Amino acid sequence: MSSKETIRSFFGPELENNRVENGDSLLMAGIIDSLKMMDLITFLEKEFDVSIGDDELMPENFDSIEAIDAFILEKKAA
Amino acid sequence: MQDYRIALPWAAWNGDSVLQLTDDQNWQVKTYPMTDAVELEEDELVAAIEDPIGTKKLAELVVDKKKIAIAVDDLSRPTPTEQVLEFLLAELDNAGVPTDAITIIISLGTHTALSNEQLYKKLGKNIVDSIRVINHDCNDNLATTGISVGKTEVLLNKDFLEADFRILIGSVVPHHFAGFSGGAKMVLPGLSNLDSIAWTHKAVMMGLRSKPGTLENNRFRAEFERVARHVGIDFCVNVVVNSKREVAGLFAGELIEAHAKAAEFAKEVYATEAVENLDVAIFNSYPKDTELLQVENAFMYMHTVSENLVRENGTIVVTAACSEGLGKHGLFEPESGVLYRKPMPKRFLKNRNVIFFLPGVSEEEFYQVYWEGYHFANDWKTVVNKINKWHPNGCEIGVFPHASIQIQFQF
Repeated sequence: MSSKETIRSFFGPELENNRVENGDSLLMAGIIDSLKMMDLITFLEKEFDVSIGDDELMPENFDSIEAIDAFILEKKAA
Repeated sequence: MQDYRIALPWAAWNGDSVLQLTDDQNWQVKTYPMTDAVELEEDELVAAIEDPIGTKKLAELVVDKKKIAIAVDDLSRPTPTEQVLEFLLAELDNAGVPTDAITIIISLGTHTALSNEQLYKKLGKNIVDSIRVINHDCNDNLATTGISVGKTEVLLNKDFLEADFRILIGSVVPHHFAGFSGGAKMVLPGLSNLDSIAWTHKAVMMGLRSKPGTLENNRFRAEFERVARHVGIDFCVNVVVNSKREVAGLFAGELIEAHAKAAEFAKEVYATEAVENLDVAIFNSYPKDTELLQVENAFMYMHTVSENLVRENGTIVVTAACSEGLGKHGLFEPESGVLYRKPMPKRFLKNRNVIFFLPGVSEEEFYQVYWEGYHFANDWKTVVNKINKWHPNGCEIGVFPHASIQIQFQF
């Protein structure tokens, strides 16, 4: 499974049901909100073995599957 | 003569009256007011400006300054700006600052520009007719600051940046993500560009925020203060209003220190008794009741208390005059707002009956902003009938007359 597929798996069928592509805004599609965000952070930290700091909690890192994937890849490479 | 048990402060900036509503004999009604405070005397207002917190006196600070910019908030905020400005302008006049060196900028964020009539309400005719007043535009008249929020460059109002002395005047009331309004928040988002304002609101919608009514460990407040410090704020006037929208506290001086003192006082003034398991809660939006797009603020008290404020299957009534109608907000207004989304149910209202009493807007306008599962009424009788239908055996009703600024006791 690719990293993007792993990230998509967190959201379950919601992405397919709402026809959300990897580059689409999760916020504007109503997929993500404050409660889901907390679960997403926990999921990413566990699944990709990374630690996400407070200063990294900004919209541009989490607003699409592509953005999340790029953010995680960058962290893994660091 | 009828004895009204539900009396709501009503229509900020549009008469500031009291709306008395009929109730039902099967209802047990109890009002939960904020702690409140008395209005300051004139000499106390003068003293607060003349003896600032954490900085030199205004008269000393403005020596040799050529361009004074004063940023003030708009009608969506309760600040009685005219009254405060009169004392501040007198102080500037005493220090020898000519009137034509002063520009007042309405710190609008993405809200719509104030009309002349609205400017008269906010600033008074004398001030509007004698001093240059401009509305901030988040898409125009901007200049670069050289700093960013996240990866977004912050641009600010050009007149504000070009001034060599910058003053902020704003009210300090509980705010959903900045802890309290006022202070550095007057700069970002108040005087900044659409993209950076959208960045801050997006972060909020994604839950990257702190609790209302507290400044501690608030990433947004820290971000706003970083931007404001970078730009340079010379004098910050923080107003705490009471239940009648009068000045109950005025804390002027250094950007962070004076604002923090105001917030401490605001916590006491807006503190409200904690309560649980009500059958029905009435959240009145005053003093943030001018327009539909600000009605969300009525949930402020609810956000600071236990999830069980209203029991499961209980009822939440939101009331607001909406004297200015739907309102305008560049981020959230229907269809054109850059962060506008189709209305969805709110998680924190789950398993409750929800009805909005909004005489100032139409049903069509309401459902552009709120989910179709919520009930709308523009006459009170409809609300009474709904409550009686949902609670046929009577109910215990809690009334929160200033719900948009009330917070739970934090002592």
